[in-house]
Amino acid sequence: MERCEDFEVGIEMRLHGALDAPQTDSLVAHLATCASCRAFEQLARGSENAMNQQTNLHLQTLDWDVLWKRTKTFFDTQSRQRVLSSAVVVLALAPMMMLMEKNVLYNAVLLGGSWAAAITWRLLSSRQKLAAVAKYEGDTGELLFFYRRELEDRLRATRAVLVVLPMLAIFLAIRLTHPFETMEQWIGFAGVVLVSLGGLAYVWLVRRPPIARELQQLKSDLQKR
Amino acid sequence: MSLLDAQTELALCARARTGSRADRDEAFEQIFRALRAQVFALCLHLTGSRAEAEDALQECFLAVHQAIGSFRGEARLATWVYRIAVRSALSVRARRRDRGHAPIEEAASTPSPGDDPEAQAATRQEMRRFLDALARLPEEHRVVLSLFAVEGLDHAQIAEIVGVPAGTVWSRLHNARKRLGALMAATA
Repeated sequence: MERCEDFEVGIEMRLHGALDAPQTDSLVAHLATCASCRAFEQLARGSENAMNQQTNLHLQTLDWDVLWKRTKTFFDTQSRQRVLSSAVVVLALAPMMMLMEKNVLYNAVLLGGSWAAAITWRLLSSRQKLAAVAKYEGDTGELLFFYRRELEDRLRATRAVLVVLPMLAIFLAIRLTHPFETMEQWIGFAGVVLVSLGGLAYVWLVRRPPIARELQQLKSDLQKR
Repeated sequence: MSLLDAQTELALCARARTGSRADRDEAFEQIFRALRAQVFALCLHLTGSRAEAEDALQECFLAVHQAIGSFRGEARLATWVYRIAVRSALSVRARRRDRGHAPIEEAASTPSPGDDPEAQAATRQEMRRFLDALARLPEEHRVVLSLFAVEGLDHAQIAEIVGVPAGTVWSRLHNARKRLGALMAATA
């Protein structure tokens, strides 16, 4: 430790029992001569004490039995809400599928709008990522953290595809081929479902495994650092 | 406050995954009892409000209850629960759109009869200044300060919860403390 900044990190480490004996001696010697580091130590101790004091005061007056009962009730309510919301989605989608127009212009606008929104979202998120990388430049730890979050987001997106794509495919298939009166309509329905299943398999079997492997590798690298 | 050792954690997870309904409920209640105080403390510092900390705690344990079947034991159970608690608390805080930088609600302490009223007032004012500064900190700084204030968590666990290398946790804590000091100085 040479600079005040290093000693300040040392103060944090000592406060949380992670500073070894030689470094502690060096820190104590520095604190005897540096008013700025002494002020930092006071701030660190004061803020830790204030947080602990607040926690203890709240914990003293917390009724855990009431909170446990509330938590159990919350679980039951959430389970009921999940069942109810699934039913609402089915009930809402069914008439929507019947009522939607099979107008080419309408479909083109819908498709074009969706693509424009997707491209705008991609562009904006790319800009945000570039800004974040620029902000953390030089700090490998923060960059690795950012990269890990990025990979976790991508994994979450592949999981979302597993739910969203089949729903969308069934919706589109019924929308495009309803009311299944001819063989062509049945073939069209099967075609849309098969294409979406292919897309799903591609995302799940081709795109997802390398991301998961990379994330696993990154996590193990982070643990070794 | 009580924490679970690694062996007990594994046994509880196994019971919560494969046991009967009654077994699962009992195992989950034990996990709740062991970690509730730490999770509450973390949520309190992150949300800045007791009521929201209670909501975040409920959301956290709901998520734990739903996902414990898929918990593969790659990390310690407590680490996994704290990670969920951070997410729950931040999401509860994010839902409160109109609140802005509202300071943490100050817990009312009971003054001792012999205390000097002026000293009490000064202490309270100092606490308010601290809580106000804490509420104004950016999310990543607040998270690291809150985790270090939770009893029983070491820096390696905190690094795992936050997802950064162990060395980065110290620099992040240091940056957070410096920022806190600057914010407190600005309101002095």
